[in-house]
Parts: sequence; C-alpha cells; structure tokens
Amino acid sequence: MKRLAGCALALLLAAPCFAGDASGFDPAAIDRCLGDASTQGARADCAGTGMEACLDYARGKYTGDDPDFPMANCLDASHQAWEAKLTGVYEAALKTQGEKGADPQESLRQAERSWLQFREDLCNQARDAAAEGKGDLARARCIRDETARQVALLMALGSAE
Amino acid sequence: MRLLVLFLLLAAGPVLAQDGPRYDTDGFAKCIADAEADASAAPGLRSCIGEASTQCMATPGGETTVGMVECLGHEAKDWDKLLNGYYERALKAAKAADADLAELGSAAEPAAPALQQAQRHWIAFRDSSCRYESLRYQGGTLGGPAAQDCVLRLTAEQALRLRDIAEGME
Repeated sequence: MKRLAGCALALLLAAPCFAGDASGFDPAAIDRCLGDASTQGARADCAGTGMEACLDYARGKYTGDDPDFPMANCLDASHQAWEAKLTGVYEAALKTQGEKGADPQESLRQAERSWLQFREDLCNQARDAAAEGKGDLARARCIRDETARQVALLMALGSAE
Repeated sequence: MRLLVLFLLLAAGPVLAQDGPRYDTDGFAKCIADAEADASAAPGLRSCIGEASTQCMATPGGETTVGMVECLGHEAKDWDKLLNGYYERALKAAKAADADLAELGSAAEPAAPALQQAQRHWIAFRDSSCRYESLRYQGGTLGGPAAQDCVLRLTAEQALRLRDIAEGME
C-alpha cells in the first residue's frame, strides 16, 4: 500500500514510476525450474530463479536514485510468486489430508503455523544482523528463500502420494 | 554334522541379531570435513544430507523398516551434534555483539534472545512437520522411516542455517 501510494505520488509529480511493477518477473520460470528439479534440495535451489531477468528489466526501467530499488522490487515479486506456489501446494495437501481425517489435516495446519513463526524469527534475525542500511533487503531475501524452501519441503512430504 | 551346523547357527544367531545395518559415522564426518575444506562450503555440506544414511540402508539389514529407522536416526543424530555446535557458536557471537552494543548504549534489538526464540520456534516447526509426516501414513510401516527422514532433513537444514548465522556474526 505504501508503495502504491508512493507510485501515485511519483505519477503526480510526473516522475518515472516503477514501484510495484512486477512485470519484469515471470512466475512461470519457477514452475519450469521446479519441473526440472528432482530432489528437495534442487527444488529449494530454485529460490532465485527468474531474478536475473527481473533485475535486468528493473534496472532498465528504473530511473530513480535508490541503488537497492531494483533488488527490493524483484525480491518482492519473487516472494509473491513463491507465496502463491506455497498456497497451491499447501491447499492441495490440506485437501488430500482432509479426505483421510482430521488428525493429519490439523497437524499440517499446526506445521504451517509454526513454520510462519519460525520464518518470522529467522528473517528478523537476518535483518538485524545485516550491514547498516541493508536490513530490509536481507529480510526480504530470507523470507523469499525460506518460502521456496517450504514449498520444496511440502512437495517432498507429499511425494509419496 | 547336522548337529554341528545347528550349533553354529545357534551360536551365530545373537551375533547376527546385534549386527544390523552398518552406519559409518566417520564417513559422515569426512563428508563434512571435505566440504568445509572448500572455500564455498555450503553446496558440499548440503550434498552430505542423506548420504551416510543412504549408504547405511544399502548394508545388510538396512533395507528393513527397523534398519531404515536405525540408519536415518544415526544420521539425524550426527546432524544434531553439528547443529548444537553451530548454535553454540552463533549464540556466543550474538552475546558478544550484544555486550559490545550495550557498552555503547545502543538501543538495537539484542541478537541473542532473538536467536534463542528462533531456535525454540524451529523445534516446534520440526516437531509439527514430522508429526504430520508420520500421521500422513496413518499406521503404515513407512511412518517410522518417513518421520525419521523428516527429522534428519530438517535438522540438517537448520544446522546449515545456524552455520551461516555463526559465520556471519564471527
């Protein structure tokens, strides 16, 4: 929301606006990478896939003076794509488990809740430990990487079905 | 002759039963040490995950459910030892950094309690994820090995996260 507001303001000032533009990121790149990967580790390694193309696009378009902006924008777009992937994998697993009974389904919900808490702690730690001024990028990267890792885990846990 | 064979079988019985699959803890340590010797250790360390237990499961007795649980449990224990070492290192570095900041009168969030909380939440995450993994099989004999494999993998990943944190802080 803050970013959207900033974008609107930039438009009003007739300044070049790039904020929130995720069109440089191709979510299908993630699917292709996951499709080619055969192990949990290889799937987790897909975390950064699509970033280079996004950064090229963002650096070409962005004319502002924040050197971290293209990276922040692409990490955000990449995280959103992984979050959508995670929702898909999680919902599918919930559905499968729901057919088996309440216990496995509830344990999956519990696992997701505790994962979210852990991700929050871990990535706040990454933010606090980062060099001066780089905390937000470190946190965004951590959130994106851990989300990709969780997709890989849920895919591995669901692999025997 | 037949009696002798019977006697030998009886004598050999308990020894065979004790044998079980062979887990090579030195092989695990070597995989870690070789990876650590490399400048970019992370990919090598990650490739160690599951190696020793897979080799163990290929030894006689390792292919049974009991054998699999034993092999996976051995490797999970080895990763847990590494995890504890990395955690202690990271915590020590965090406490040292906190002490420095306190001396400077900094209002920054202290790192050590944050690390301890992350580790507590990781334990809850591991337990609930691997409980889910065992419930998924609902009484099937895979529940044991699958849950043990889950513990092994999550423990290994966390050990490597903590290693990164320790390296970043020292």
